[in-house]
Amino acid sequence: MKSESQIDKTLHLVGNAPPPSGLDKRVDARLRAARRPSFRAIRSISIVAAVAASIAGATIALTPGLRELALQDLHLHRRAVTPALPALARPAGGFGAASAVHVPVTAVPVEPTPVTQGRGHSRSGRVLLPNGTRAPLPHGVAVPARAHIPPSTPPAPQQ
Amino acid sequence: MGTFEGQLVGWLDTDTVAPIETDAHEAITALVREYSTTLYRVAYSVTRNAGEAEDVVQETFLRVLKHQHRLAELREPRVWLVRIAWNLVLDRKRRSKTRPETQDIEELVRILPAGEMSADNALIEAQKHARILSLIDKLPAKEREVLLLSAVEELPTAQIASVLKTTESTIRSRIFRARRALAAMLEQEKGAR
Repeated sequence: MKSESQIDKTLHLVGNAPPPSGLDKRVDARLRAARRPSFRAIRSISIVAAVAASIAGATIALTPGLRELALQDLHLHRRAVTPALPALARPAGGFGAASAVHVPVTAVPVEPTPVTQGRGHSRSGRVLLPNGTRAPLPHGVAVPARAHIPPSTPPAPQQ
Repeated sequence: MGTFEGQLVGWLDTDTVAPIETDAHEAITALVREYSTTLYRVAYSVTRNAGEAEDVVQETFLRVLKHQHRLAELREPRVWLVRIAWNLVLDRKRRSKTRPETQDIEELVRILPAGEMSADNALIEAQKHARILSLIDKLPAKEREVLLLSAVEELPTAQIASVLKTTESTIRSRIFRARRALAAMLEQEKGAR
């Protein structure tokens, strides 16, 4: 009978163990933390997405066939996405572009073809030397003995 | 763990996760206040370690939180909670089987009722309890489990039967057999000395 009472005492001791103080509060705190899964979930999803993106990127980068396919798709996509430029309205005067053919409506005065009239040049185009003579001609070039200098009237405008 | 999950899910017939509701939170908080001590004792009877028993209690209520949408349908919350805790603690025990089965004397001294016992007497008393607990661990699993659950005073035989999914008469006979075998082992041990 002594052993029976000893068994009872042991079972009573184990079955009535005092819980540590603050057990309820700690359980409540754990439950509150578990009710806020957003941070952990978002972090997990972010990690998974980042890993998946990295693997996909690495696979595309390391596989020539996939890379070409991806780039081709990218070009096609860009071409498709680029919006068509609006058609430019041609102005009434006909100046659509620099390369367009212009037909002036009124006569345009044409200046005479400029000749070398700078300092030290005669009207014949031969250089006047400081002593008043003209520069010697190259061999084989025939020139009149006396230069014909036209009157200094402005040339008539050419049509 | 998988088996336990299957049992729990089957018992609750859960297949969806309901949105978190304030009512459910309040209900769980009330369950914590009412049953955390019982669950702790159930867990402690197997683990005999305060930290592990508290872990089991916390994990039990996390399972409750997971299946909170079925709280309103519960008829016997105590049986439900004890069953969850019981399965969790047995699962822990199975997983930590590599650990040697030794009784923590200091832990037993800690839970001894505070009285006029001297430190030496407390130690002797704790050693007696440790000896009996080591003999309990040698009992067949079914008898050992029933004996440990019957030690928790808050659990009547009918509820132990519900937790273990058996009949009350089976529980009584197992307790009887367990106690008889334990007493025989104790006598045998005394005779051997």
